[in-house]
Amino acid sequence: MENLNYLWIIPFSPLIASIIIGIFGFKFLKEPLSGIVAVIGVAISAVAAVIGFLHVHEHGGHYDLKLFTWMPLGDYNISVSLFWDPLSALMSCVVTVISTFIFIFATGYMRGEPGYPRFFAYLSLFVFMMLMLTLSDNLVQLFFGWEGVGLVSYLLIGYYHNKRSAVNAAFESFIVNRVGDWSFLIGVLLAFVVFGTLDYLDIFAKLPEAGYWTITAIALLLFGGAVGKSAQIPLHIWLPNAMEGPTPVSALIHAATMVAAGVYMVARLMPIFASSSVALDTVLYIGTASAFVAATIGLVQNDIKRIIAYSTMSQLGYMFAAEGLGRFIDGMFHLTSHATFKALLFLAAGSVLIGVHHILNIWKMGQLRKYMPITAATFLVGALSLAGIPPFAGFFSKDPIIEAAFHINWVVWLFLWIGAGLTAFYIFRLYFLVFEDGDHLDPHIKKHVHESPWNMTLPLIVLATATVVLGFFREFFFEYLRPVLDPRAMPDTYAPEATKRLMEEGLSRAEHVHIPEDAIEFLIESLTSPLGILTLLTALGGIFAAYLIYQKQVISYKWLGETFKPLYNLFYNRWYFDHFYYAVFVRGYLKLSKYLWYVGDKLIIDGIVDGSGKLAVWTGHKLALTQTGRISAYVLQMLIAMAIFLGLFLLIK
Amino acid sequence: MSIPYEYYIVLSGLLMVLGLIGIIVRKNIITILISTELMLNSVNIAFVAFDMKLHDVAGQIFVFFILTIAAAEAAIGLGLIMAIYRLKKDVDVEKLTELKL
Repeated sequence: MENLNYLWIIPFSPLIASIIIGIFGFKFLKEPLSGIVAVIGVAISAVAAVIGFLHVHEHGGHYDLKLFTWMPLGDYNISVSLFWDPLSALMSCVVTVISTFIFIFATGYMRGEPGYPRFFAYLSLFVFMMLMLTLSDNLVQLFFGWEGVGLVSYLLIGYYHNKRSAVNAAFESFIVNRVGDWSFLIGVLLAFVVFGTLDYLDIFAKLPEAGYWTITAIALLLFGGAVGKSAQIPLHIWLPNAMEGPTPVSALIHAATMVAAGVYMVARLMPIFASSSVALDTVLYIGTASAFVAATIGLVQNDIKRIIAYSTMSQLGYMFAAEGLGRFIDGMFHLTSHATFKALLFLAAGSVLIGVHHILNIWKMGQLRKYMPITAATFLVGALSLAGIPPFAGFFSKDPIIEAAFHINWVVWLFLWIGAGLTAFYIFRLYFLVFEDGDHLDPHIKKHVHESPWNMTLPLIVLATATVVLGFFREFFFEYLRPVLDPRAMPDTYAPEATKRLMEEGLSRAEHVHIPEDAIEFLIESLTSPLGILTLLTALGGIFAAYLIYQKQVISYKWLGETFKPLYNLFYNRWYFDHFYYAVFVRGYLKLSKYLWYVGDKLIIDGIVDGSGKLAVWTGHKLALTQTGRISAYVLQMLIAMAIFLGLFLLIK
Repeated sequence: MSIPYEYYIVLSGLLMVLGLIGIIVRKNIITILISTELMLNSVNIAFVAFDMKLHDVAGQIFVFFILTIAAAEAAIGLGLIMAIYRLKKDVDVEKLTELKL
């Protein structure tokens, strides 16, 4: 085995950057320098990750580098370690490379903000936590990263800490995530009770010993955590509100890190999930429902960042659906391409916001293409990719999922297919309203609109290029990920025969699906087969509808809104999820708290505390009567007491 | 022939009770002090009686200690009573009730 010890740089370089900025940021580094330190920190780890990625590509296999023992737990030692295999290598590359560009963008976006060093300290810490999660070889370190990401996302969403709505959004994100994490933690504990170990490889090896329903329970509990972290129904409500943070944070959370953690975790623990068809079905249906619901909500939102946020939730739904369909590699490939083009979309939106001075409402923008050509062009690339138009990455990663769904489960396919059309529609509604027709921009602001500086446009251009090229690496990705995500190609050291048989049983649902892995072949196939053409036409139809309504205004959107009033209300109010949660959980919890306050606090605790005080005062008053102040009385009392004690003494003797 | 030691114990008990009654019923603080002396001496008699019965010198040694301490105590007690008298012009315990609530 070659020397892979340099891999420790990957997670710890951002951590060191974070510590340096945290300590010296405000006093010495100040504005440009702390951003530069953060960029250097994450860039170093990106370089190390890419070198490690290529190493695995050349030599294959997986490496488990134990750094140190964290805590011993009976016979089992929880260690802090780096698990380096194709899956974690790919994920580390996605995290670090995309974060690097987001960091560069952030140095421009955050210019002049008062908390500039603090922002970069948090940002670096965020990447560190995500990498700890990614590179873990056991469930505890995964959980450490998982919670760490939740914590830093709380700090970053509440970055504008004197803004009420930002603070509330941060709380909401933290609390909703806590619900999922609770389930995740129970899953980890159950796994420990059942297997006696928390290392992935040991769990995979012991998998056949556990019963079917035990595995299902563990998988479902762990998936509960993924639902919270990846914002799937029913724990999705925090994601759109998380837009209160600065735009680079949104890009970081949405594209490369936090929300991808759930998808990554399911792929990482693929043997557990694949061993249980019930768990796979749950992943599939929750993913599909989220993909569809989020797409419908995205149709009618008016906030530029919220639309992209709902599209994230929708695309994550596609990833989970792919995993639920048993096509884990498709899911991970979509994660990679989505990370690229979603970072692009968010950063472009951030560039727009800098241009128009933080107006979020898309109805107050328009014709920005004239003023911000680079931003508009790169946004268009991202939008086309999201809509699934060839030759952009989104087409090569999303359309195979929809096609696979057609062969496996037609109900799922129907929802994913409609969702794809809606996706194309809402992202181009956004594009046309912001960059093309509809001159709603305040003339006052219009004078100041200009293209963003180079450190903001450069990441956009790089990410746009990546979005164009990435799709053609489809076959490379499949070959690369096969040893960890395809039971037939797995080495025995990763999962023994018995586990593989279990997995193949679960994955048998996808066995008859044959979708070309080569990008060109896939392109040709989807241009010739009726299913491929249908999917493509749906995407084009969505774009065309958006063009007709918002660019040409052939169909009045006001008329549409009036005609489909109930649907419009349903979508606009986010399917009443927030209302429902508010009524049931927030109000219900408030009522329960009040009740407990009355009974528990007022009655029992205050009763005991006040009661003991009152009792002492009362007995004091009563006993004070015996203090007459006369010596003869005291002597008499003493005498009686002595007589009693002597009597007792004699009696007992 | 000698007097049985029980007689001494009875005498000691009588003196002790007399002393106690004196403390409880009398109001003059000096009388109370004298009553305590009576009680101390009743204990002395009991010590000597047990000493005689058990053939042990320890009882007599105790008596010496008690006599010494009784002398010191009487001096301090009388001194205090003098001080109280100067302050209050009175030695009636019924009226010395400052410590009562």
